[in-house]
Amino acid sequence: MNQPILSKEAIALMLRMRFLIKNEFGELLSFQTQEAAAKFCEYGFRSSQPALRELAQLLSSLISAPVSEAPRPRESSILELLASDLIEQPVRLVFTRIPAFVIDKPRRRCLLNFSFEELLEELRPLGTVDPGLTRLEPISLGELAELEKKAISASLPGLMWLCGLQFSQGQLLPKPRSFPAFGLSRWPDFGTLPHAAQHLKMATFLMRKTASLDGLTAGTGATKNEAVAFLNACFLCGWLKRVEGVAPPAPAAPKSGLRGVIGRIRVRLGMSG
Amino acid sequence: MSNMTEVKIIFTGTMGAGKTTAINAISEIKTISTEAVATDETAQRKETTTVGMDYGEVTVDEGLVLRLYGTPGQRRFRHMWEILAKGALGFVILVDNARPAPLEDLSIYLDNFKNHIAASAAVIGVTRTDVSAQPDIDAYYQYLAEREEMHPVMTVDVRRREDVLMLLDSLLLSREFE
Amino acid sequence: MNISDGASPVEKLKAAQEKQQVEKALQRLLDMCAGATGALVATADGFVVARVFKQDIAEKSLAAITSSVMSLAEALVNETGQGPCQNLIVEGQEGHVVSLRINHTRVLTAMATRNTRLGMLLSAAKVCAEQLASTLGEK
Ligand SMILES: Nc1nc2c(ncn2[C@@H]2O[C@H](COP(=O)(O)OP(=O)(O)OP(=O)(O)O)[C@@H](O)[C@H]2O)c(=O)[nH]1
Ligand SMILES: [Mg+2]
Repeated sequence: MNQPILSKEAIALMLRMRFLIKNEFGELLSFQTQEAAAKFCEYGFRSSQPALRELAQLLSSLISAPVSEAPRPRESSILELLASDLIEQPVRLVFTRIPAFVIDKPRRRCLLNFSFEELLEELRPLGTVDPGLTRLEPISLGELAELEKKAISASLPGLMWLCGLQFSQGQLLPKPRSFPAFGLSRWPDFGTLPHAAQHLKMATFLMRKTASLDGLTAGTGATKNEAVAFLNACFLCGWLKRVEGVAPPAPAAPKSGLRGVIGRIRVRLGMSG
Repeated sequence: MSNMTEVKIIFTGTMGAGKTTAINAISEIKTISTEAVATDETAQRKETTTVGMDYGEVTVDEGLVLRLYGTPGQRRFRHMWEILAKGALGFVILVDNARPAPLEDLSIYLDNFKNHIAASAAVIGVTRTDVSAQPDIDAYYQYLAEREEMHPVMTVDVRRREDVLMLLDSLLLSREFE
Repeated sequence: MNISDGASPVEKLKAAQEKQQVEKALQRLLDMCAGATGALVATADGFVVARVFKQDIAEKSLAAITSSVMSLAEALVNETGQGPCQNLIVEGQEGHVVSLRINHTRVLTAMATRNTRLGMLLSAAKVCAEQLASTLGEK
């Protein structure tokens, strides 16, 4: 009973945090005491939600009890994880910058506590900054069955495609980096995957010819970063083929009658490139 | 008019898949259509069916016009298929995914236009996936692989102009990189 | 009206009745125009309703082609501002073919030898189409 009484501000902060914490840790916390406030800070610092970590920082500066900030866990890149065999079994992924979710590769889906659109909303502001994977938790079949009942299911190739396009940072993933040249086994379904005209062009190029990275940029006019992102995205989705023997970069295509006509139509219809 | 280049694109495929709708979505002129009241099972879904052809145009620049021809979907109008197919730059094949056997439906058009497609290009637009999601796009690629053919397959809603343009674009690119 | 196998018993009965009526009218057409070799009524979407022919013909494809060319002829007169289309006349080396619309959903095609006067064939076909329009109604 001799605990110091919390300020209104601290309580207001905790109220906001409680909402977020509940989502993540599934615990209902009381918010009357200094002790509870310390607990809030502890949860907040551990959280994968940036907003929550920020609130925890504020709260800890408001209350007298010293709360040590948890050391930042080591992060790894989402692309390398998606390309690795660590996701052959269902796993929960916990990130620094976006909410946690589950990947169920055998069934080609992700399981989310929120809609896929909300995940996109979280990803967009990151730009090319990696979401920062900090933890990987295997999911038992029982837990998976539980999740199925309440979670929202989204397409895993859809997520992989997006991550490949957004987080490649100009670097080919290690595996495709070792391919002498590239081909594609099918067109990505541009009717459902977000894309730019450039992607349709690169896909068609690699369906009709094989090429190295340089050959691809020379043949399509795509920049190296665009080409790398596209190749990584196709690789993650399982559509990139290893081609032996480096194909020489395609010589600048002569403007045959047909090509000229096609170029004019594509410009007219707003299909840039 | 003499130095006017004309490029012909054919929209074909399953009855009711959306050939007429697709041409209407992108044509800049009032389309010419030859719809007749449907008296067969088509009537359960829509009132009319194409019995002659659809025709629309997109003017690219003063020297170039894109001509869009839609065939009737139903097999009894095969006579129109051959007439319309001649000299096409490529074929947009639309498949209604909500029918009982969409892959068999597809084979009708791949078989019929085989020689024309071999000399030009084709793209497959899968429509009405909002009504039926199966077969999925993987199944289409699997089926094409069994036939030893390779064409782009894309989920589309041909009521949307950008989806129809995407089909056209992949057709044009296929020709560009052949 | 459904002429395919999936039709209900009521529809089948109606189709059979219509077929009888149309066959009678087509027979009268052939009687009226001595050189006529055959006539057929198709649905506007290309199915056979009834036919009377002196020789064997591929009736199914004739019905489908009738609906195609009729629709194209109508598009032609509309595009050129000459519509609505009243009839379609094709003169071949071996004979003539005329097609006209009976109502919204039925089309008539009749043919005759090349010695037959085109006017004879056309007027017999018109009479037949008018008669059928009144028996079948404006569907
Ligand atoms: N639900 C749904 N309806 C669609 C889609 N695409 C087209 N449609 C509808 O499907 C119908 C297609 O009709 P048409 O355009 O006449 O089809 P068609 O291929 O020309 O048919 P035929 O000429 O009879 O062979 C229209 O009513 C469209 O609105 C889609 O993706 N989903
Ligand atoms: Mg149509």
